[in-house]
Amino acid sequence: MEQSVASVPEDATAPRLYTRKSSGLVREISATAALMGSVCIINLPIAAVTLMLLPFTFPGASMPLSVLLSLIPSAILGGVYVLFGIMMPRSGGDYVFNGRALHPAIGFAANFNFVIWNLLFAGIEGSWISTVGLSGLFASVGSLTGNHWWTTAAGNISKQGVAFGIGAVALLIVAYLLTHTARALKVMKIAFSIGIAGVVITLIWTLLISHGTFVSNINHVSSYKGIISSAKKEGFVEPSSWHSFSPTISGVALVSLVTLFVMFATYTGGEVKNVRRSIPISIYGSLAIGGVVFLLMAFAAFHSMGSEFVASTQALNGTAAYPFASEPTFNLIASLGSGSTVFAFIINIGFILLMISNMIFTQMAMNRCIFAWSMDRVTPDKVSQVSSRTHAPNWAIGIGTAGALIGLAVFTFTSFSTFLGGTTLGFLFTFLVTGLAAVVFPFRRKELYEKSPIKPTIFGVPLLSVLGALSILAIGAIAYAYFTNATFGSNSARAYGVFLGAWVVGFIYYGAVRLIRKRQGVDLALAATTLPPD
Amino acid sequence: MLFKKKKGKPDLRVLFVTDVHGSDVCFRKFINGAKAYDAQVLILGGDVAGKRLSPLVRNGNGHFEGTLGHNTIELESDREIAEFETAAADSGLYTYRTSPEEMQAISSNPELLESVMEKLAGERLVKWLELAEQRLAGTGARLYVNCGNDDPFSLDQIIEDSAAATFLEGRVVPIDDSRFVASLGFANQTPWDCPRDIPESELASRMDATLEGWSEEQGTLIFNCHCPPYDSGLDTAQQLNPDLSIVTEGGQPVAGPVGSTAVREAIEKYRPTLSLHGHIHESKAATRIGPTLAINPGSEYPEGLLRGAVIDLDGSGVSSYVLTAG
Repeated sequence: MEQSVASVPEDATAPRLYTRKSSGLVREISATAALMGSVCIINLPIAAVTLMLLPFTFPGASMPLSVLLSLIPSAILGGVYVLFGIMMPRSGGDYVFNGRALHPAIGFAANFNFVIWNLLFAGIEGSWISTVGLSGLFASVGSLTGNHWWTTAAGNISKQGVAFGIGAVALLIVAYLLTHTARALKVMKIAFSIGIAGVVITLIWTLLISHGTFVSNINHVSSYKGIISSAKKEGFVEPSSWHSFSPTISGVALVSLVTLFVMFATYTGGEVKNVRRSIPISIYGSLAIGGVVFLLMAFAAFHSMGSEFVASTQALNGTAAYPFASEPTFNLIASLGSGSTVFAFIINIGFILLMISNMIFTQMAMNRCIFAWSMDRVTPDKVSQVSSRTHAPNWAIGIGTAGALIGLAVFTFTSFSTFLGGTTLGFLFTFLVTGLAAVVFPFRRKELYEKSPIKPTIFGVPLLSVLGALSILAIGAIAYAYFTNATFGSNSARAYGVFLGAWVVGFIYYGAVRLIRKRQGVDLALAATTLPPD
Repeated sequence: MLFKKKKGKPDLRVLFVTDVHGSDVCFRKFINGAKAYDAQVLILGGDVAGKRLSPLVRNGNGHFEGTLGHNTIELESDREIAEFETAAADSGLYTYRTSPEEMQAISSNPELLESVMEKLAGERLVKWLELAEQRLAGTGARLYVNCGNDDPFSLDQIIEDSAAATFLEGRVVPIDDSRFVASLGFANQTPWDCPRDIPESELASRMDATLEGWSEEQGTLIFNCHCPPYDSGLDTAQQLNPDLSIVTEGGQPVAGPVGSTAVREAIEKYRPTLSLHGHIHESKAATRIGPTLAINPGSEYPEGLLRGAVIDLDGSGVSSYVLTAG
């Protein structure tokens, strides 16, 4: 089936497209539905972590400005995926784009890399339910009420074994939900709607209260100035300004992950929507909503909490002088600063629900990638089988969940991959390859490009190529920041090995499968053979 | 399975494509696929007719204006007109040079529009079959064509009369000494009430009628049913509300099976070695129903990309297959 492209001008004698009665002509998906389809990928739980790290990692950085600037690479990369998504409106995202523009092996390896890091990230989110969400809730309620049961529980729930257990249960629940797509989507929608409402309510409250009120509320549970002075004793040096250019720019790399993934819309169901309308709405609508909420968080942290205080909590984290029972994330500090247990529940449960909706979306997108590999016979045929009862790709869901559980174990029990150095930089390499694919696609696959429904140009140069080049520069700059700053934990031989390893494994796997399939009489090279029309 | 051992040595390669919907470039690629994929048998599984018409209307300046994509373009020279018509044909559109007066008549008369499009569909199919005759001459490749639920019935006779192709509808046709294709271009009822939409009971009757007299001793049976079997993964499409809007949940389209129960029952009853399907463009998939390998290669004709399935057959059945995007 396909969508209607018929347009009906007022003037009956004007040229127009006529569509005869034929199957597949459906009404356009609504803008609201298109936006809801991708807005769940806005990753505010990451924002709750990275935003608070910013003034400590890069003293002098302006939190609002770093966040604002971080929207630029997201917008550029989003532009690449918007154009590719319209030109090749099929599920699978960069697996399809890179495979067709560059080479199927590169398409697979890039997507394999993306899936590997995403599965790791799904595991990390599973862990965060305990260490960021529940722990933040218990710690803030404990501090606000003076009830030690909550404070003790906050510490216990962050322990490795407990965090792994809760994360594993969450991942298994998500997997169960995904075996019935409509059910999973309903839960995702409800979780996101309640979660974002809770976060926004708390943000407004945090922005409305004065800095003095915030300080007063913190003083009820600890000492605002005491935390700052203790941090200084621990070696934290206050910068001369919280609006310095260089740390603000460097900080962009840290906070960029929150909105960089708005391109996820191209992974899911692109073929069944009016992509000219729905993909830009999905990607840029999500970026706008995510950007505004993230900016509000940055303003709240800057205005109400104060950059120095935020940096000081990070400086003290892990030391004996740290006064709270949970990590200094945005949800914890905002809860304590609100002075209200009601708000503590609203904001922390809000973030937990956002984690759950994000896990569903992430796993769903990764399952579709794994499913797409199987359809191309790169994985065993079983993986592409769907359940006759629920119509869900249960094997793909199982593989994705197993990968996420491994990611959860790696993140929880080892120091093999830190969140910052690992997942962020890992993702970036796939984006860089997609940028390269965008640059060359109009020239290398001219016959496909010429059939594209849109081919915008700037000064005669395809916009896709221009955005591809800009995305390489923007994402390359972020990658450079990671490689040259020890804070991220990425500039080590081990980190290089892991980043490279994911690609090497992808290429080796693809090559091995081609050989195995060839022995079975299946020539995978045929799958991507370009047929000459003339 | 990935690690399953290779079966017998294949002795026939089939290229199956479907739902090209008037796309000139897809059909040309299909014919060239005989050489590119080294296929001896080419099967076009239905829905050969395009869905859209872009009239070229002469304006006050004596030039033509036409709509392609979302843009209306004024065409001043013969070269511009030819380029427009080629681009439109490659995307599956029909073009038709006309006057504002005729345009007015077409706009107000759906039957006239339908007849114009049917005539253009026939003309394009004739052109395709002539091209196939030229390009396949001397190659040894054999072309088999069927219609799908979207195709007007007038196309049947064009294929039937062609020397280049064998028409498949409603009969068991040998494609070599030991392999036979049984075809049905009809589909179960869709919300659009297409020319060959019929109730499931009639589908079942037509299938049985097609296979009347068939026995396994005759050779290897292959199905070519435009409509995929129900609940097979080859038939997953978005669910629709009564007003033909897409059912969404959390912003994502809700998908479900829309294939034919009669086709599924026929597969289970006659147990063909291979079953080829189309109809649901976005449901590219391959699956097993009992001993039968069922394939829907999907369709991306608007992008000029030819989706297909290259299937190798040996003495025991299907040796291997690859879903292609050429």
